[in-house]
Amino acid sequence: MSSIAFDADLQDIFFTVFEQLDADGRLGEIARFADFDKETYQATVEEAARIATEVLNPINGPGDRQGCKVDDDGNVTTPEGYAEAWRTFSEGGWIGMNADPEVGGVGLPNTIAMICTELFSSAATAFSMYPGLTAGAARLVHKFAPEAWQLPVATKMFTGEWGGTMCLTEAGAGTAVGDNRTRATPTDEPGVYLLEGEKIFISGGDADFYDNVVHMVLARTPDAPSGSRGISIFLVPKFEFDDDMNLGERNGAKVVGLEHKMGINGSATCVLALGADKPCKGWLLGEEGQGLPIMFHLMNEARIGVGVQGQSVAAAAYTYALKYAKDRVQGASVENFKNPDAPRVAIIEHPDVRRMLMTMKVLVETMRALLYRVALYEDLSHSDDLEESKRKKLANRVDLLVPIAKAHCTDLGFDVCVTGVQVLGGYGYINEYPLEQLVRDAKIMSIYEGTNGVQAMDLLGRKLRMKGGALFMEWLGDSQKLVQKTSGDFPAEAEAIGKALGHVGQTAMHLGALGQKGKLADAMLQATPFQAMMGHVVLALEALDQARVAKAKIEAGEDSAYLHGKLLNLTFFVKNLLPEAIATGKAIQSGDTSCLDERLFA
Amino acid sequence: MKIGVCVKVAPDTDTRIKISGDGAGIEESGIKWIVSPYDSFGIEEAVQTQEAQGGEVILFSAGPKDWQTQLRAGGLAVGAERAVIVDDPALAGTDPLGIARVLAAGIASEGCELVFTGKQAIDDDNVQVPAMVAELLGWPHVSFVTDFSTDGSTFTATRNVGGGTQEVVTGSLPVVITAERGLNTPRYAKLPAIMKAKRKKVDVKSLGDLDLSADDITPAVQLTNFSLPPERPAGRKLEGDVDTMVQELVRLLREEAKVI
Repeated sequence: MSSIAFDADLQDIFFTVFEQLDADGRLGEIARFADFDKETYQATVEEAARIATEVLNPINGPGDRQGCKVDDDGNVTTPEGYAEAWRTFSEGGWIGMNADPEVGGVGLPNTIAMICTELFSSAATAFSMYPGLTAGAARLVHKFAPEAWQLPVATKMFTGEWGGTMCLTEAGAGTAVGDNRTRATPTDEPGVYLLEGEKIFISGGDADFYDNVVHMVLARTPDAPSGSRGISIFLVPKFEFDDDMNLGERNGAKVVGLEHKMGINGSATCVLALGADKPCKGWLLGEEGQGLPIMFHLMNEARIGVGVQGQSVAAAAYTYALKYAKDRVQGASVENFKNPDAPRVAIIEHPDVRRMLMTMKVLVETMRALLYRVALYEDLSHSDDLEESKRKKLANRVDLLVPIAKAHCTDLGFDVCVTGVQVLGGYGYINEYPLEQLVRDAKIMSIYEGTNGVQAMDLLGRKLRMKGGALFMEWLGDSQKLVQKTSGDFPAEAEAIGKALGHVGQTAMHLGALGQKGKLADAMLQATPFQAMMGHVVLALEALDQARVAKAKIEAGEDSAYLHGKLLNLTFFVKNLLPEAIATGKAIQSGDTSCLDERLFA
Repeated sequence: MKIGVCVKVAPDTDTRIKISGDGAGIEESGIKWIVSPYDSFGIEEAVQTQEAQGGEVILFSAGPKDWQTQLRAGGLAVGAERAVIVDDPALAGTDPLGIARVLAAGIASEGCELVFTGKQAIDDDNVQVPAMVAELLGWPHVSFVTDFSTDGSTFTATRNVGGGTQEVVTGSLPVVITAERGLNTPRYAKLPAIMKAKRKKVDVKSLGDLDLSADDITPAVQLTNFSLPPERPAGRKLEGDVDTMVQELVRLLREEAKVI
């Protein structure tokens, strides 16, 4: 029983998606979303907030303490209340919210689905993994499964009758997924293989609230080339089924253990044995050797999804900490600190607490803006109603920002949760309050779905160089345009952000030059600092853009403390957080390579 | 069977109410408006009855046409078929009897045989309108109902009468039933239903459409002044030895709090 009520910040969510990004206007121009409007989007998000608050949040703390169990037959039992929540999710259509109606989906834009996901994950991260992973696997089934199965199996999954997982990791193949060893041997039946091996760290690997689970398994066929080109992907069900979706024999994919983890304890992280005590059949998706390209169809979605998780736990931590700080009375105000009889005040009146809360607020709100923007661009970039050049540019921007959305939002998400614990003091450290769980739940997010180190290398080594650097140059150009556009309203802040953009450009050139000289290790040593630096400037731009919208509304007569808060966000970001980016840029350009000295750690 | 539900839209339960400048109302800006929660129990009961008996659930509101946003999300998305909103400038100053006249006229014009509503609205807590609607329709009513069933012509309703005692009322339709907490658990709207609700019909009517005029709803009661409850006084700490404190406590309970 958590001692602070969960709250969804619908005011900020609606400001960001409708006022700042004009998502309803821009999505309204796309034919496939023509059936929706702002009122429908709003009703959807409000209902998601209700479910998050009333159904999911109450099972979050107990689920963490109870955890999952597995029996000798490989059947997982999830915490109490999970089955009921899954039923609410399935019946309500929330697993397939942005899926195609032909597979039981509702066809909502990713932008709106992301907001709902944020709310669900904010209320109960561990539970939200099951619908998230099921939807991801269902998208692969819909596109790549044997044709007769594409619609019926994906429908079973999107409507929650069956679950789904992604099985990439093995004991010897984690980040280096190309080192996969699981074997897939063809049988006489075309497209059907026998799999042998062991997968680990399988999130939501089994559950007691659906009839069947469909694993997407990476494995290597005989004579396949080594490395990632030799990897194929297979559909491996727990129970076999016929073309009418009637369940048959138990297949030889079996959960043989659960990991004992730091957090997300309600999500069963499974060890999955393939073909250990009976043959394990797998059906090839696509063609042999296409495992990674097929899996990469989900890459952007999955990485953005984890970024949303990072932001979502930060949002929860911020709202909890804010409520607590307003209620908790402790100490006299700093002006009266020498007077023992001075009235005691709520801790929100203490400057250091305000500084922590402001840091949390500005990061939560700018991360929200970044993520919604990426989702909106993703929706628009897939629309035939837009000119091709515009679509390409939007897709480029998504590609560039994905590693930042993933890495920066999960790193900062964790930091914000830690600050939340600090605001609550001793009460943040004990499990009577929900903050300590948020910290534990948040830590995995910088690790899975490509560690943040890998994201940073993707940004520096790949995204910055893609199309001759065009993605990066387009972003710099558009950002400078925003700076110019806002320089009248916010001269000092716009100038500071403009300079910071210049630093990002110089730092990227510096690292690019190292690469050209063949000093790859020297450059990659700075990948994470560079990602953090650019990430901070990306968030500063969101603060600037939000302030622009808030100021226009204030000038139009709509004044409120909330809108004024957006102006303060900008000032605070520029004066307090942006200098970190500049300093990081200077550190990167100092060229220090002491970490790479051979005598170190010798 | 046509089943009516009277619905009021009210500020969300955790709203911090501020009194407006003239003292005769509340500040409405920044308020989140919701279907009054007891009315949600009424909507759920109507939908469950419709699912068992067939027919159609119609929502009735006397208020601004903007309420259709809440009626769609909180009613049409969870199974009600359509809504009637009576929006007329004359409604602004009316009282519970005026509202009841409007709702009763709407219900009569649609030929409903059964009406549900919340036991009270959560904003002004008047607990007046449902009984008045029943009276104007010439129907019986059962209030504060926690269990309800009907076979389409007769009904059985259970109500709490205090002290743990329950009263079971049986009778014939038509009837007005007012919902108490515990009657049911309102369902969550399903995504496809939220999409469908957008296309469901909301009729916005004037008083004239129901053969009423402003004179019919002239208020007998006027709201002249609003004030917030006084702030709770600070606690008091008793000092001294136990006997002194006990004596002082008893004296305070008797003379100041007047509870013993």
